[in-house]
Amino acid sequence: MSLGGSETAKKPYVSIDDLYRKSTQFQMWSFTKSALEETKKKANENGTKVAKQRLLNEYNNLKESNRTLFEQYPQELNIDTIFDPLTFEEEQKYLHFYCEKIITTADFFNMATQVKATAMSFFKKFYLVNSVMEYHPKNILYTCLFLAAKLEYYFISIESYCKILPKTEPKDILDLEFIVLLSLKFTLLVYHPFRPLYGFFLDFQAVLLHPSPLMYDVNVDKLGHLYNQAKEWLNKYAIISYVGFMFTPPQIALAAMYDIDKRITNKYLQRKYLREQLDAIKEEQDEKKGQDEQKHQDEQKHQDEQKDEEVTDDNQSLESQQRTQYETIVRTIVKCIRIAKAETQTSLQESKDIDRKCFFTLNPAKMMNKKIKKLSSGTE
Amino acid sequence: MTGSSSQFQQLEKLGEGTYATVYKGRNRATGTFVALKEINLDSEEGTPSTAIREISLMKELDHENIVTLYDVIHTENKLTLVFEYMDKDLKKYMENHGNQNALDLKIVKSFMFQLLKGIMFCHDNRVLHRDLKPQNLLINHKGELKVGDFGLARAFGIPFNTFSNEVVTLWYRAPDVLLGSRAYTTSIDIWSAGCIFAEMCTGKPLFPGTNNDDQLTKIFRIMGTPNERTWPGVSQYTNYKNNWQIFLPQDFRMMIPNLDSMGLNLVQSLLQMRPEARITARQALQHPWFHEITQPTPVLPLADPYQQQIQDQQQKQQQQQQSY
Repeated sequence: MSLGGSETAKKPYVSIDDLYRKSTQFQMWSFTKSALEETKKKANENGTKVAKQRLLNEYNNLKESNRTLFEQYPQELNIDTIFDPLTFEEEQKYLHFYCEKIITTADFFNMATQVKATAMSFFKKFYLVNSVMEYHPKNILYTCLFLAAKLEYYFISIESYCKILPKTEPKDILDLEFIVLLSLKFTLLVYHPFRPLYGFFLDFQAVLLHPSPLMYDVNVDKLGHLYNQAKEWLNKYAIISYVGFMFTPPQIALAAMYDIDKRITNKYLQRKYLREQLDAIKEEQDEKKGQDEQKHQDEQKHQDEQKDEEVTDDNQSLESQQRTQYETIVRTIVKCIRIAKAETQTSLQESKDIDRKCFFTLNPAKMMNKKIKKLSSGTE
Repeated sequence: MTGSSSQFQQLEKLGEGTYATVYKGRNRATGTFVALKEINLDSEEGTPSTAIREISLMKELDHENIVTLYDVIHTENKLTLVFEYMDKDLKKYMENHGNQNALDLKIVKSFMFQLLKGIMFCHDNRVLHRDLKPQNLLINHKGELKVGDFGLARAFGIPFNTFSNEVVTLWYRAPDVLLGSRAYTTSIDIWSAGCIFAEMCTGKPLFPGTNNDDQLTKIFRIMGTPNERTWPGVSQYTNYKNNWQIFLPQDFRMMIPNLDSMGLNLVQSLLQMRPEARITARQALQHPWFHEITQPTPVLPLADPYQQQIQDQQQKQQQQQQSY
């Protein structure tokens, strides 16, 4: 047919997969592992450059007014000695520390999981574009959480929000709102694994329990328990890690279930990918057999032999195709679990050290003055 | 793609949106027109949540029947959304081009087709518009219709049973919403589309109610007062009353005398009282009333559209036979 209209009419129902592939989350914020690493490194490099320039400006000013001191201590006041930016690893640890803070802050306000997860996504996206050496993560975190709350229908006024946050004024957050929106390129819709998880919970029941239970020890309660534990898993590992930038929400949901109960999840996947199609073919075949028996009993044998051959041929190609699909899924899930759980834990002391370092890269004047004061008091 | 406000010359005011003022603007560099939607930043809340939600949805919705968001600009105390420029909204179009606001049926058909395509795309993307009305449908000089103003729209996932029932301008609001339903879904936009369809044909709003109760009465007057028999479960709605005045359903041919029978069939499929009985945007697009758009090239122009349909089917069968 020639015109667009009939195509519209014929087009099959748009699947969630199709939708996802068109989303900004997939188009703009999905990476391979190495590309993601590269993006983070680039943000750190840019941040280092910005921090160096900031220091250089202060340095030159102070050198002007403290000429003798600078001549006296060429070693101590050498710019390369002074400049101490956050390394890539330090920046990642620092960000991880603040990601954990998002969770505690959101929990404190009793915000829904959706708000928490969206804020977390905003925060990580922001630091794929910027560095902590450009914007301190504390207020960025509060701004991300405030934006996510507005987007996800959790109403809180800026006044009451700031009243509870330590040392934070409404201006600190409102001034950053646009900067955050801009860094996010105004793409604000985030897909999370929680909805697909619920979908799988329902489908697990359909596949494993109906018409009759497939596993002797699996019932609704058992699946309900699996579902709840998987939800906790998502909260504990998925939200805080970067898996949302490398895997689709359903993959992450399956990873959670697989890691909680490999046996049940594997049974489901096998049933779904390896058995379902075969069952369907078998049923069809049985049906045909039945019909044929009634109609032409004489020719029956010959026909059936032929049919069996055809079906077997089809089965083999289909079977290998589906096995590949199944294996790919399991491989993807296992990789997702590994990445989700690999996130480093950062000790408080370590964070404090990095925090100091970050503070000085953002406020080089304070650091320089401190140094100068120390050196000049030493000379007197 | 971030612009500065000096990039655009602000021209005349185009209208007031749900939470913003819209101006016509000209790109100084290229000379092209844009629509500038200015949103005042609230000292209480910063960027209004409606704006945040509108931006979030517009960034995902890329379709020929949905107005395009080009850019977002920030100045001291306001946020400006830069949209593609459309010449006028449907309300003004009807005032300017209609015969006492009523549009030619060919144009109605084209506009309805485009509106339903835009709605279908939203619904496929799990987005409810929730505020469809002639003022939110934008028309350009090429006769293209695009859905705009997603200020009240929202993405629906689970749970979608907690929406406020204070949405959609009264006249285009579905009866289930007026009755207090909060569990509505895509069918709410379909009702609005039905109201707009009738209004384009007659030039007058179909149900111009003044308040919630009056709106219901105006609907009942034409659609008939529902009861448990015509609408099982109607008495469960919070705003249900057992002393409603009883009206019998009116004949739609009297309401929209200039519309052909197939068009009347479509408008009635859109305007079903029971939300689950309303057809979907996808089904509506396949309605035979649109066949002259979806399946043009009739061999002979036939007077009876049903004959047309039969001929189309015969042609299809012939084509299929030939291909074997």
